Order: sequence, then C-alpha cells, then structure tokens
Amino acid sequence: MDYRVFRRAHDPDRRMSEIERNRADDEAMTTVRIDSRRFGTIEVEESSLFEFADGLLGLEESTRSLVLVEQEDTPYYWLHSATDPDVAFVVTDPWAFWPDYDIVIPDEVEEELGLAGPEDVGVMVLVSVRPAADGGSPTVTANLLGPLVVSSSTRRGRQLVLDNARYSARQRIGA
Amino acid sequence: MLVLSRREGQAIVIGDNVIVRIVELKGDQVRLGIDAPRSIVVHREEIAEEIAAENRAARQAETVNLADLPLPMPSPTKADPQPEESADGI
Repeated sequence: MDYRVFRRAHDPDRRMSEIERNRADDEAMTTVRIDSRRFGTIEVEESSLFEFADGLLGLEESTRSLVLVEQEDTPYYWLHSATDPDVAFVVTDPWAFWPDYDIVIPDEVEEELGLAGPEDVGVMVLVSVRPAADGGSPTVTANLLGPLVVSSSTRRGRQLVLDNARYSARQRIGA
Repeated sequence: MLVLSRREGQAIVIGDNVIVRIVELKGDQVRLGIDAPRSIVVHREEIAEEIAAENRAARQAETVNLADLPLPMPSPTKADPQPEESADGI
C-alpha cells in the first residue's frame, strides 16, 4: 500500500495514544522527568518521547523532543516539550474534523522517519486558540499546512510543509 | 549574496545536481523550473514562514482547557476546508 499519499478515515476509537502500544515489548522502561509549567513535573517513559531532529519551524530549540499527553473525552491532546517547561501545544487528529484531508509524505521523510507502513504513521495538526478581545468565545484554528508526521515505532517525527493552496495554516474549527 | 543575471531559458547550477532554470518571464513574474533530487526540499519561502509564525502562535497560554474546545460535527458530510481569506486579520 502506498501510504506516501496519506489519507486516513477518522476512527473515533483509535486514540492517538495507541501509538504507544506499537513499541517493542523488550524495550527497557526508562522514565524521564519533564518539568511543565502546566502540569508540574510529569514522568513519562523515555521511549514514548517523539524526537523531531529539526524541531518545529520557528521553535527549533525547544521542540526537538516532545511528548503527547492525553486527556479523556476530547479529540484534543497536549504535545509538550520535553526540554522547555513553557512550551506546549494543543494538537488534534485532522481527520476528526476534516474527513477529506490528505497529505503527501515525501520519500525522504518516509526514509528519515523509518516509516514501516500505514499503521506506523501518526499525523496530528497544531491547534491555536486565540482569546476574543471582548471575552467571548475564542477563535480556534488548526494548522493544516504544517502537519506533524510521526512514526510510532521509531518515535521520529517531522513537520511537513505542504504546498497545497487548499489548506490553510489557520483553518477555523467550530463556528 | 551571489547575484547573477539570466535570460529566459537560461539556468544556474547549484552543486552537482540542482538546476534552476528561468522558464518564463511575464510581466512582474518569473517562472522557475527546479530540477533537484527528491532529498532536497523545495518550497516557497512564505509558506515556511507562515507555518513558523503559526507554530509560535500555537504555544498555548496556561488557561486553555481542552474540554472547552469545539467538537467535530457528529456526522460530517462534506467538509472540504476552504483556505481562510486573511492570514492576519483575526
């Protein structure tokens, strides 16, 4: 199957944390402590960290090592920097909101991340929440132009830069 | 910065295997043809800048509660996203 053109139907039962279960069982369980201004100090397995060799565009230094923090009953997750207590993002599964979303994973990214097949691929998009000036509902947007692609087995990730006029870096979520 | 003058149809070579050719000159636009190995990422400068700006904007203040954010429509029918008109109008 050619998963370089990647388009997955959203499965509400497939939590992003399923990515965790793909790890080899014989991997040593080493925990690392992450300081977070939001969560305090959290302990995660070292093997659950995602390594982004180049970080996220514009925030390269603080985003080379990231961890996904789940919260029940929402389609959103926290993606927290493992090295900077102040850096955390809200992310979501793009197919939960845009079933027609599709991306092309370039060959070189496939190789770099060591993607082992469609089930190995995790895709998430960053969500921005901009408070309303008058205290009303915040403006919530997703960055469909720069999706994050990760391998669940190698734990490597990269932010893609799509060249696709159909997608916006500020796609509105909700009315 | 190295600055070179080229005519339509002419090209420059970068390293061993990147060729940038002036395909067409038309008004105030120039069309470039880029021949490079797949391992070299080529994209418009402003797109990477837009994503970088949005990444910085996505760093969250501490007040966001995930449970307060909008949920997907229960039964999505047709949801082809339309690009937002303004990048900075919000």
